[in-house]
Amino acid sequence: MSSFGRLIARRLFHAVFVLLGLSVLIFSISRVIPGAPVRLALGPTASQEQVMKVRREMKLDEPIYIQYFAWLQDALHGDWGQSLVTGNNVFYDIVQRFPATLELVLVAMIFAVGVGVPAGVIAATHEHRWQDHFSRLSALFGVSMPRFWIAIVFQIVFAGAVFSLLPLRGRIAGAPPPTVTHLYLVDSLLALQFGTFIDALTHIVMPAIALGVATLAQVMRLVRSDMIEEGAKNYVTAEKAFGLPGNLINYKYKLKNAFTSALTIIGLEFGFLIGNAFLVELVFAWPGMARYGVNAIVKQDFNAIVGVTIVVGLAFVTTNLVVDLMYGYFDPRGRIQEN
Amino acid sequence: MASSRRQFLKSAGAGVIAASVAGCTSDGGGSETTTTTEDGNGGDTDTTTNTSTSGGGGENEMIYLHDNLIDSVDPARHTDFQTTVASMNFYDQVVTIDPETGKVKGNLVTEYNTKNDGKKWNLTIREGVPFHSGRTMEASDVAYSMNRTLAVGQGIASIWQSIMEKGSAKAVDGKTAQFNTTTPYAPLFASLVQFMVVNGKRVKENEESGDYGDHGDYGKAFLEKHSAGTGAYKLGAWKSGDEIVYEKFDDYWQGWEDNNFDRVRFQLVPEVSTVKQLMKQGEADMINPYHGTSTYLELKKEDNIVVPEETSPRLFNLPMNTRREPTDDVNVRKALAHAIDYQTIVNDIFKGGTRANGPVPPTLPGHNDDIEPVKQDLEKAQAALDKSDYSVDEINNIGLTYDYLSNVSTEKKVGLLLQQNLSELGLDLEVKPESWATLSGNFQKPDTTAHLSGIFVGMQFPSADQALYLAHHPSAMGTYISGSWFTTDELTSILEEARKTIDPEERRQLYYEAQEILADAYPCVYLLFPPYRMAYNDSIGGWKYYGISGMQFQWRNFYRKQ
Repeated sequence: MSSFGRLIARRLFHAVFVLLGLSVLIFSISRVIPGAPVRLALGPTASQEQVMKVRREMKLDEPIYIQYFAWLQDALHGDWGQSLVTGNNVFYDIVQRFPATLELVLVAMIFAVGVGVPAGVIAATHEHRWQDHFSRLSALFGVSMPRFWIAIVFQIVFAGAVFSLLPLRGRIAGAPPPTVTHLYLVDSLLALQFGTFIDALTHIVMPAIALGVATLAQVMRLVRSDMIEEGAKNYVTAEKAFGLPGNLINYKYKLKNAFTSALTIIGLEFGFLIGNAFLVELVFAWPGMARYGVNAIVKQDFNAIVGVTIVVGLAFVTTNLVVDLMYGYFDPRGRIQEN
Repeated sequence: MASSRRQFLKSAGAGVIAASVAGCTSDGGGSETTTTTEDGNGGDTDTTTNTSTSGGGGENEMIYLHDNLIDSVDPARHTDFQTTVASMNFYDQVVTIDPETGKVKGNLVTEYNTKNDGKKWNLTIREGVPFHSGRTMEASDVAYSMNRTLAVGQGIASIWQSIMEKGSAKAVDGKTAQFNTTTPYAPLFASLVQFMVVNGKRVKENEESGDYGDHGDYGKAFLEKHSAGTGAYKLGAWKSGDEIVYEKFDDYWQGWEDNNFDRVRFQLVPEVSTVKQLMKQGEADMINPYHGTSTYLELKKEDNIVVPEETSPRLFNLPMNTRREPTDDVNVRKALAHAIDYQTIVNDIFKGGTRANGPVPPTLPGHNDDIEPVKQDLEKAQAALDKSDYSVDEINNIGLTYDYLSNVSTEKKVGLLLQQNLSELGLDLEVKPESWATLSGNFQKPDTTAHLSGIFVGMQFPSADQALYLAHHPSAMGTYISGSWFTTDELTSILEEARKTIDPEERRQLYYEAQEILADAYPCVYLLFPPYRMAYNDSIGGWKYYGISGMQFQWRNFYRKQ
């Protein structure tokens, strides 16, 4: 097996234990916190008989370890338990909603990286000049302002009182494109429905930017500082002495070496945003999984809490694996060590 | 090589942009949504509905905003305001409320009579009412719907589960359905405002395997995403977690006016700032009545928005835990009740409303007008405190608590005012915000129920029984409605007797007696019936107030003014 294959196999092996541990922890916590979720779901006029019936159906009167193993057995067969709020299988609920959150986070990350990296390079190459100061101020703004506040301001400016350019809510105004990936932008392009693509794009622009601003700020500052550090190294001096163009030195040689710290942040942020996009989803009425997860916590919908947490955990594990693989590209020493 | 790669990337980028521009200028571009409707033979017919829209509230459609997840419009499973509104436009109720008089009147049922001392109810159904499939409603559909509701046993079924056995509803003939109760239940007819009829034949054809014996899942899976009713609207499209689209049912039995809406969009918008913007910009037409007072007052200032204000049957009160020290002492409760500044609560916190003298709304038969609302009187409060078995120090050592729902600002303000009022008697009060899940859990036992709680109590159907029984009968203890834990043998006996008393005047007298017992016992601080407010675009006509949860939002009543 190649080193690449060994790396993936090892990570997957660890991931199984990570997810199992996560499931035990969140399963236990969700069931022992005080509250009356069944009564809450059935309403105050439900009789005690109805409440007890539902509790029996959900095995809530069994010891917690029996509940867990019953849940695990079902979960491995795609049955993640019934949601107390929606009445559906949690797996079905998450499948319905996860693509919306994934699409939002992907676009937010593309924005954050696509703007943050060049901005960091520009700030580094214009150190102590107005470009650098501007990047410092914007980064401060980006990490200080809460995402939901930025979202509301965007709505007021771009969808309301000042300009009425973009829609206030939702994922799409018209009918969704034919389903392939459940990502509207991708599916509309695959179906060559460019009107639908524009519809979906105009809806995702504001929430994605609101979500990605803080990540952009972090990426920009990390790239800036690492680029400045790289700029002081001998190989850069040698490249300049050889007369290589500035952009080639910056974007091909320096950036590649400077990118590893930013890559770590990008990986962490991706997983973080999957679970924490809920405030932006709330403001824009975005039908995503994060909002579903928060609603589950508020209503103590414990099967949904476990389901969403597992998905977020999976997102972290996956992005960490991808980041580790990309380290090998950016830093060949990593590949050599693996061999 | 590098140059040709750059050339290629530039060409590809230009091609994508050109294609996008071409796509933008082409006609349509949205795909059609396939929805399943019913044909006259009860089978499925795929129709296509283009649900793309030129903008909120455009064409002949209305946009209604709600703030909670709805994942089923099954009429047997609706539990709260949102799900009631969502389902009742697909399904008609057997009875409804006359908005002019507030009285219950027939809807799918034209007559009823009761025999066997109120245990046998015969309902004569309206003839010639078509389902969305085209098939005409029969008594068997009414019986099937009730048996289904009882078997599924969720949500609204709790109203009838304790008095009707599963499978007990039957069709006497094609026009008469019969409900049989195990014990006389006088409010049955009024309670049927929550009972909606499904197309029994259609649902039976779509029953899947499940827990209900011969009936499988009783069509639960099918009715989660399909409509099978007689209602004014059919299910047009469902975007999970986002929007439900209602399409006009042309053959609706009550007919249509020219300018009724062809389509209504029921959109989920949980964030109040977004709701306000959508309403102000005219991109939404109507919102629900469960936003904060400040939201409606802000929207009222806009020229394009109407905010009607009505007397609501929804009570805001403070149940006092009668099974926990020191509020187990009636004199302590009396002292607390007389210490409160009611005028500030009505005028400044709720900006209006009607003072309550008990749990029964003033708009309902059975409301006792002879009982005066409790007034703030610090001398009376002090006198009661002096008579109580607890001294001020003892009460403060025990520690009085007031629990409220953390995201409801009016409940918080009332708590803080209460804290200030009680300090004038030397009493300390801890004001605690709690999540709804924790609050519901606390109400399950007297030991964990707070001394006082800020609670809104709505009416599911127009009967004083709802207001009294759910709060004070021993069988109903353990919910937020019965947070006082107050029951007596005499009160229990009166409530049970009232349920069996068919004669309305006799029943009313029993409700009066029950309220007198409560007035003497001070189990709750009955604060007020807050004003009912909602908001709609001023281009909408047809607003009528029915008084009971959700019934205002019958889409067929509304139209766009010319």
